[in-house]
Amino acid sequence: MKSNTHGWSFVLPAMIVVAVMTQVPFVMTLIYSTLRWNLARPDLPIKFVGLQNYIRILSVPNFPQVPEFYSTLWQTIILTASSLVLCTVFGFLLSVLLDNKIPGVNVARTLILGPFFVMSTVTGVIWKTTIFNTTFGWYGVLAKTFGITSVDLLSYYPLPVIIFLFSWQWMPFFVLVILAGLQGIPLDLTDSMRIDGTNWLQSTFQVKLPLIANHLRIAVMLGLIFIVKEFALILVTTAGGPGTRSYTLPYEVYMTVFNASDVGRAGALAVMTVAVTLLAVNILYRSINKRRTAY
Amino acid sequence: MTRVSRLLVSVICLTMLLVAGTQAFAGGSSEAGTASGPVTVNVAFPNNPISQALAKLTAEKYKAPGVTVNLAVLPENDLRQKLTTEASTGGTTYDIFVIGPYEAQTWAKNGWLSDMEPYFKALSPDKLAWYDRPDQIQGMVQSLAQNGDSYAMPFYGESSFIMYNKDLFAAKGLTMPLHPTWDQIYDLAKKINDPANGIVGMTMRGAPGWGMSGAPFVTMVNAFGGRFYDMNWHATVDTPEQRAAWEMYKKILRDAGQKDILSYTYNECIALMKSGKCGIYYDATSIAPPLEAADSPVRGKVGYAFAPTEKLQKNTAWLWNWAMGLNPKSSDAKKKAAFDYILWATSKDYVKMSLEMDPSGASTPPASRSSTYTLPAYAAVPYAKITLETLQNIDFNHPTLQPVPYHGLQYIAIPEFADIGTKMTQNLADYVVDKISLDQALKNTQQVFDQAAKDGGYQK
Repeated sequence: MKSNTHGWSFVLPAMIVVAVMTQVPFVMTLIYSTLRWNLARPDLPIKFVGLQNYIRILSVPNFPQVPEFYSTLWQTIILTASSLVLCTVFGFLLSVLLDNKIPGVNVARTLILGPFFVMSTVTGVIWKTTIFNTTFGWYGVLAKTFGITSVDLLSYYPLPVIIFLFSWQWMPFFVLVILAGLQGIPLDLTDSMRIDGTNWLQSTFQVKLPLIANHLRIAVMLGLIFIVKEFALILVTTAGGPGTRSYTLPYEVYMTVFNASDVGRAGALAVMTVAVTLLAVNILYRSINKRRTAY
Repeated sequence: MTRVSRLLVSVICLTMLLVAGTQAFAGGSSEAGTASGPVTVNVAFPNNPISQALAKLTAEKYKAPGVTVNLAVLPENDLRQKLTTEASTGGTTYDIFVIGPYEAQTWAKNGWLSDMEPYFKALSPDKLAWYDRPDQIQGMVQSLAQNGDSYAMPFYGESSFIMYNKDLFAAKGLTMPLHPTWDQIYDLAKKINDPANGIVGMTMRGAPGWGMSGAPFVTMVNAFGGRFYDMNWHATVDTPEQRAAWEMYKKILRDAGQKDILSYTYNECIALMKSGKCGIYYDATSIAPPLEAADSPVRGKVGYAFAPTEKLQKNTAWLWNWAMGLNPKSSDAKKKAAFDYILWATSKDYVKMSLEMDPSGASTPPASRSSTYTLPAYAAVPYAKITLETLQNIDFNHPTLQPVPYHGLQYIAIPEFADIGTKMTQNLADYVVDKISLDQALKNTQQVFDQAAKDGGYQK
């Protein structure tokens, strides 16, 4: 018993440091979410309002009109899920392509990883100004050359454009993880496939894909964590618009605190964002634990 | 505990104490250093040619012993958000707040700006005479004052007017009236619009944001006789006057405007106008200088007319200035150095210096000083007369046809407007690109404005 207490005393400082570093900001946000606190109105007292901020965000006062929170939540789900599907499908196909021993494959691997190393803001500015602009961008110039009427994609199709940009930026990450999985498949197994006479489709989708399923799930889980909090790309491309058509939960938190200066409401939104993300990650994590594959 | 362990613990404790002590002294010495040693003044400006010229001249010409000025240039929306957060949380990233009258009024009340009068009182008579406060345009100075005390000094000001391409008008045999109405502007823009040849009839800010599309749009609402609140702070967005303004904004941009409507900040509008492929442009008077700059392809080809009217026959332009105020949380030495820098940047000498650097007037801060308009090089520029006349006729306190409980021409001077104004422009953007109907847009905005008046304690 004594030695057990002694052991705890060694672990305790580390536990305190970890708790303070990781949990204090969240606890502070929880506290803020229960306050009526507008930074732009220091003349109005900061007041404890309990769950009022949550109730106001979640309530549907003018049914069937959907409040902003629900449309933002739906947009966040669509953006994240679509980007993850695209990243997984094309990331897997690209990885299969890059898993071949052909001349220049290392150069190709490096080039494909490029977008992952470009900052989100830079990605956004490049695509917005030099490519998608209908007057000065490549898209506008090409459309004019071929006599096609160019459409302002960012205004009329904000979600598909952002999904495309998210996928463009994050697919290399998926390629990295999936390629590592493919290269970890033992050689004797691939030799056996060849001897057994499997064709490309069979070897890729019936043998390799199940073998790297865990890599795929880990890529999806990490991708989910990264993509759901992606914010800079939205800020510089559509700024959440038109209207609030490309708002995501993190972007709404940003606007609520930095534009509306409403700390209480932003806190409540942030807490709900964390809850939704944790729920999704937890579901994925359980699925990984359930279906472990070994080779 | 063994002796070695005790020794080790003692050494670690001593080291931590030393590190903490060094940090404390380092902090202390930096404050002390600001009193006599080198001082760094940090300031951020909105991104436009006049700010860029200031950055250049500051680096080349501003000499103050022991003072370094770090000048950053940021997009307008970013600057606003950054500075509001900075001021409200007592941050000291910036020692000078570059703000407009909207912020100045509220911030002075909240104690987020230093009163500048004590600094002026401490100046020598010679220095005061050199600065010449009576020469500053008084409307601008008053928009930054509280109870007669100045809380910021205007660096440059602006109103709004119509700019049009004289060549494109001549080619179509059209004439721009000196005092146009919005209906006339729409007709002219439609006649100029020629998508087959890449000619855009009219451009205006379309990017949402209360300081972006909100600026031209709110003056349009004023012109159509609309208002945002009645005298009891009940929202009046869903009215025939507002409806007409919303329809006109959409009609102009959809029938005769740029294709990427919602991507256009004033930077894109300037680029389009400069390309010579745009007929009409309604925006700030401070945008005329870059159009008339030496390297501008449309130099000498731009005509100017007063801000459009409709039901409201006058006072339909906006009033804005970018002014420099002191961050009250900065150290005394920094505030003094920042004040000296503000005097230099808003002085008559700076105006002359900027004209020497760029005789076209494109880099000269307009509408801050009367003397600017008497300088021969500046008086000769084509937009000078109309700018001054617009500024002299503006009534900041009576912005609308019907009485309102608020001040401000292109905004409502309440802290909540940053949020509700942005939401209004988001609904406007949705309506412009057909994502929602006009009824829905007006209803949403009405709700937002009403809720803000209730939450803010304005409605009794």
